[in-house]
Amino acid sequence: MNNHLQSERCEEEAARLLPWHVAGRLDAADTARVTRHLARCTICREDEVHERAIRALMKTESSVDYAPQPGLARTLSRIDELERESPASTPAIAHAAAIPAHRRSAVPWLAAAALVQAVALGAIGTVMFHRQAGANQEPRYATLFADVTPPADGEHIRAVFAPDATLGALNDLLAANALSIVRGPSHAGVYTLAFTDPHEANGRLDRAVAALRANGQVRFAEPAPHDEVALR
Amino acid sequence: MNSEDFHFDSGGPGLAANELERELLRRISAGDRDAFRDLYLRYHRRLARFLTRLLHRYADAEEIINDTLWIVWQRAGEFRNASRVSTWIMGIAYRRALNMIRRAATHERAMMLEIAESEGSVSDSAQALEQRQLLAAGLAKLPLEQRLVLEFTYYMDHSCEEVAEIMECPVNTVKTRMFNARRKLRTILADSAPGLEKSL
Repeated sequence: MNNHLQSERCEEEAARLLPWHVAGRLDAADTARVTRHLARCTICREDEVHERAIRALMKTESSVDYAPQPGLARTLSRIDELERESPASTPAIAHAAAIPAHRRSAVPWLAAAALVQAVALGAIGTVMFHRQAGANQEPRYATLFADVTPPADGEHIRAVFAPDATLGALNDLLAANALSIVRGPSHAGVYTLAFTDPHEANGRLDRAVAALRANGQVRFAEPAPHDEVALR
Repeated sequence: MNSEDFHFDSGGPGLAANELERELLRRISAGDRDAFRDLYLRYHRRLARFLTRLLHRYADAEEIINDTLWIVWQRAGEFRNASRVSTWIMGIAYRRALNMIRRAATHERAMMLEIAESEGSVSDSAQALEQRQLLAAGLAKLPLEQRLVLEFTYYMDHSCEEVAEIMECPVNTVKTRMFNARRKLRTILADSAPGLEKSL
């Protein structure tokens, strides 16, 4: 059927829409436009037959079965692991955390419970802080993956990086956002990040999280609850 | 083939499929694992086929599938219905796959490979299998961006605007890539598989 030469291809705009006409994905106006064009263009009528054949061939399913269960099991397991490490990563919990204050106030008992919890956690955190300060002992050595207690103040971010992320790329990413790793990785591969200068962290948390999420080397990024960071 | 498996919102907008998937996303955003399982199973086959053709290694494809659906789990609540669910998910998979290709430079390697699809089956006629192999080999010789436009349009039935959204480029770029892809594929098939080209 390929009777016409390449040089005879139709250059009209309707011809450029032909593939989506074949796929049935044009709106009514463009469909009418292409249909009118086809009525008077021999080249495009031939092309339409050709493109339908190509599409049909591409659509032809082979009998290969891709087994989804192992991958699904791994992904669910990964979700479990991450949630154990970082409960805030559960979509429902993360969503609740994102609810504006005026909406959260609609459930006063929840706010009260959260307040009590916050006070309790704050107290525990204070006790632990003082205990640590009282001890005032510098570790005599450190390992690459030893837990490093982050500063008690300042914002923190929990992040998971792609397993094949390069050290150089991560260093660049962290430097660009004035972040450094203060803990990790956990068993689930979660790192805790802090701003290199906590005093400049105000207002930068959201931007830094957004920048991390937008980066292909980052699998997960979320603001870390203060209490959680302080207690760990 | 299970028709439910091959549910590409085909033949147009696929509104019913999109509505169902939006509901699944809503449930996933509330932490519903059954909904996540359903969505995973709905997308696994189409992603597996698309990504295996793109990356040539099922192990790589599966890594991207799991990454993609994991991100869906994390960000289901951020989906704002501005596009179809399939466009959103394919966009995530596309960007992940592109990152993998760029990092591993597998694209260059892939372009040099003759695709030897090992997809034969006793139920395929020899002619249909041969035609698929010839077409796959022709597609593999196209520049990646051109091949993807064909895949998204003909295999997945995405509109031009949706392809532009997935590939994060202007609509006109998609049209140009498609135009060039069709022209080049035709030349490739005429040279390397004249029998197939004549039969189309």
